[in-house]
Amino acid sequence: MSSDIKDPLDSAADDSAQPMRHTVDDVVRRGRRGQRVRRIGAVAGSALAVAGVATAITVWPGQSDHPPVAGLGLPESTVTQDVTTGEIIQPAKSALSDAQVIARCQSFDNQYRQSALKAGGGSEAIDSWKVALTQGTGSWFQAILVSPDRQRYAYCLDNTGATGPKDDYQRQSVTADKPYVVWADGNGSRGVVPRGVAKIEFRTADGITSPAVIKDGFFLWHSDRTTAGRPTEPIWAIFSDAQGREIARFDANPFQNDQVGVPGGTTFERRPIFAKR
Amino acid sequence: MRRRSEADFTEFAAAALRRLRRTAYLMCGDWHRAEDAAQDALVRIYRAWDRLDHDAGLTTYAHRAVVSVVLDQAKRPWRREYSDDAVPDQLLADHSGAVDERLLVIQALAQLPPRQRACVVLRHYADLSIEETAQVLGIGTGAVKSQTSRGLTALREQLNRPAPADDPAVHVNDNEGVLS
Repeated sequence: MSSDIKDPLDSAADDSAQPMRHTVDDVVRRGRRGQRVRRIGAVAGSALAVAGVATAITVWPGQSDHPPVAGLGLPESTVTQDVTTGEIIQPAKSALSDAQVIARCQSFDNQYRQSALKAGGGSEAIDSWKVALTQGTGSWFQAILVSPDRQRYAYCLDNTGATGPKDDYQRQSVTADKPYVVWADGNGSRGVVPRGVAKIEFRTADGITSPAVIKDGFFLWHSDRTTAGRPTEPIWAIFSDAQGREIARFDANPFQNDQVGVPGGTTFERRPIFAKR
Repeated sequence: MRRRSEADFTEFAAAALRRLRRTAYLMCGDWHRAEDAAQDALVRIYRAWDRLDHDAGLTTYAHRAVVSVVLDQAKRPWRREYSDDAVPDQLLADHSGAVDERLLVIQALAQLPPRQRACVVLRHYADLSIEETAQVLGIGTGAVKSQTSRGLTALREQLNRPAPADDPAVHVNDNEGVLS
């Protein structure tokens, strides 16, 4: 090896004055999104076939103690999907207690904390974390857990390894994602509610708009319709204030070609579109 | 990906990310593109993680991914590289500071054809063997030798650095690439 060339190359590649813009967790998140594309694609065909046959509506108890969005007027008893509008009616609050939710998420968290970098997600156990928000049915639940100092949160979906929806767990700083930047995957979306936002709706490519459940500064939106329509069409997350005025919208579809993980895709930072006043 | 696998990947990626970014930077001369390339490469590895043989060649696979991404970037119209046959008459040796010296190296690398540049960077910066470099670039070992030799010669000319007398690259038969 020629050190007369190696030394200048080493010197030229010195990155001590070039801080990293992203972390390994960013890579992992993008990798997950890419994997979900394939999973969703595989599931979509069978889901469409099933949808053609199954028209039964599942009825779940309402979430009366935590109305999803003030003034939204969701009925006491909700269905998973309105047969006339197609709107996804969000699953009710999980029947599990907070302690049960934390206990079931703990095994995921134990494994997750073995990761070297956690995008500000911290490394402490979640025993003392609070449950901000849950959704669920008899077989599965998803929840947002928040650290005592409210600097970190975790998203936990436990379906005991079954599919539809799949287990998922992420843990990160509340500031890891920029305001209004939210992503939809095969399970829907979740995250931090930006300041001043009272309502978040998601409009899937089939033109159907469904509200997310907001509570305690976080939101959950469960949907298996993120692959409806053409996969490259936007899934709009629409953020509105208490008066119902749109503040901003963001294309939450991570499966388009501008995102890493899509074969042949490029990468650029997608930005929210703010409403003109 | 299972969580245990993801933890393994995270550990690997944490160790490899900066190294891959530096390699990509030498290939493309732009830190932002280099970071994008390193991330793209790691995302590819993430997606293939469960299929990869972790005991053999993770580093080679990572370099293959990052080189592939950089070369792909260069093919895109808005980033396409245009070869300039007219090599600058003389790159003045600059003794004023390390930064200028680094930039000279980057500029000199940029003058090399992509394959030669990749060979030089992989062999003399990433410390890959001839066989590993051949695997990364999908070419024969003889081609690696000849491309590296030509690249080093051009690089030394532009940096005004005479080749060491004992440098094996000086004695490489240019026909090796044809024979491989």
